[in-house]
Amino acid sequence: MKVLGIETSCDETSLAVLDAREGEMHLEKYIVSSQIATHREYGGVVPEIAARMHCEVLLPLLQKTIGKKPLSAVDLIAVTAGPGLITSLMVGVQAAKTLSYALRKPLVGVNHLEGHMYSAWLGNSELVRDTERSFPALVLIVSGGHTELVLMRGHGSYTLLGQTADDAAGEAFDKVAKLLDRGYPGGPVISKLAQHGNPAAIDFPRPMLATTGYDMSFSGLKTAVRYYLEKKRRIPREELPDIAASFQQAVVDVLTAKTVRAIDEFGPRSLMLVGGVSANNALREALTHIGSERQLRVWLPALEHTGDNAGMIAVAGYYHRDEASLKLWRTLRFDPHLAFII
Amino acid sequence: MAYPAVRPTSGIYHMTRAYTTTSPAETEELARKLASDLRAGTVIALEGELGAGKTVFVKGIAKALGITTVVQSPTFVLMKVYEVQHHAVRRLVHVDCYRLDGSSDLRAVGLEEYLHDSTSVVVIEWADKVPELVPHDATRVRIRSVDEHERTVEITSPDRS
Ligand SMILES: Nc1ncnc2c1ncn2[C@@H]1O[C@H](COP(=O)(O)OP(=O)(O)O)[C@@H](O)[C@H]1O
Ligand SMILES: [Mg+2]
Repeated sequence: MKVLGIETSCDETSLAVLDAREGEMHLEKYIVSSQIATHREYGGVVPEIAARMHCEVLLPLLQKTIGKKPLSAVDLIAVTAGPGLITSLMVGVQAAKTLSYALRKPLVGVNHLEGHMYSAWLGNSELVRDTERSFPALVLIVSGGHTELVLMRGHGSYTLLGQTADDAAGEAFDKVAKLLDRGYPGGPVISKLAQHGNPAAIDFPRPMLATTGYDMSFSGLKTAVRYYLEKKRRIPREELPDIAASFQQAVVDVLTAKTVRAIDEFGPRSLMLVGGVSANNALREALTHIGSERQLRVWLPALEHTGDNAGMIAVAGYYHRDEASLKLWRTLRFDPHLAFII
Repeated sequence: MAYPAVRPTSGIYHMTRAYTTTSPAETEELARKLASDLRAGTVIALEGELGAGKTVFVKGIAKALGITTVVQSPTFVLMKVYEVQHHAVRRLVHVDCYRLDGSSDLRAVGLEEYLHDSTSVVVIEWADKVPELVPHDATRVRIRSVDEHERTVEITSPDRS
């Protein structure tokens, strides 16, 4: 079946056509139009501008995605319904409803975080071929707005094991990048700096490492970096890589410690790392290492699918195809706070 | 420790109290106590640099309102809304202006609706970035780091007596 995926929850407008059948799927068409360059000036996403840009590019992108084929070749429309920025979400949801109504094609709403989980399916054909062998999967979701450790027992069956108590991991990257006067988005900036730094140079705190349970905390880390910079007053340029590498190591240590603990308690058969911060190389390497030590399959999304994209939304929609309906265009709501695990 | 002072601002008398806390738990507890008789319709404007403890303070307010879900930083999404079970307050609206340099975005995500709603409590982190959105009768909370554990919390509220 062909699934048209639509994603506009934040600052990426993305469309995808996924060709999916039992045990096999591939992206026929896939487009992401990023607004990063526009928002960089502001040091973050500007909702009003984001919404306007979604409106401007969505239909031209749809035309590009579908090409000369008739839209009627699509069997299912999957759209991100939340969580996200309200003004951005409504653009995609409204477009999806309109298409569903006009083409008389079934529609399904996808939770953005669940979509990220399915980014692991893109490019990992072995996982697609025999998904059951990877369940239960331990999934670490890390992005600018989220840090969650989830046990996925099967499609649609999730248990939230832990989450951040304050700042998201990606938020810590953004804030530290700003403290270092290195701009936005913080993830790539920090990891690039960190490549030439010593991760053991500065002993930044690893908050909540010792506490039981799977909750994490990153606000102490940004504060520690601030104290460090203030105490030093002037930071020589040569020291920036060490600060970045030490900070990044602290984040990786917190995330991996909780992951390892969850592996020991729940005995998953695979490990997945998803969300924008899953592009971070140090984190990818750390989880791959844990996986090989414990003989767990490790599924990482391809780098191009770590950020927000419609491919993962189409995959999630495919696995939720039983919930799709011809009538949903009347009732589907976008919800900026849409809960993922009920 | 607290010292009261009264100074008039824009026709309304304001009362300022200052406190010192030596741990995040203490800051949270201070906020919880101060918020225990919170009225619906109150706007609380928080100021203080990165890592001062604004979000910690909001956690205390949430506790006073009986919110049991984790209050996470709203920096990324700009605004989070918590429905609450409380005799007077229906929801807590948690706003973060860290990434903003104007108020139009908060308008876009629907803040104004809550600012004029008599059943909501609105708390705004980095309120100094959106002075035009902060009502005159807002309670102002300024948090300053003294050292790694100590914070001074200065609270200015309109004198309703
Ligand atoms: N007395 C204190 N009160 C509040 N926070 C404190 C205190 N001492 C240390 N801290 C630390 O300061 C940080 C405050 O973080 P956060 O509340 O996220 O700041 P903000 O929201 O102002 O950026 C936390 O890491 C907390 O542990
Ligand atoms: Mg904060």
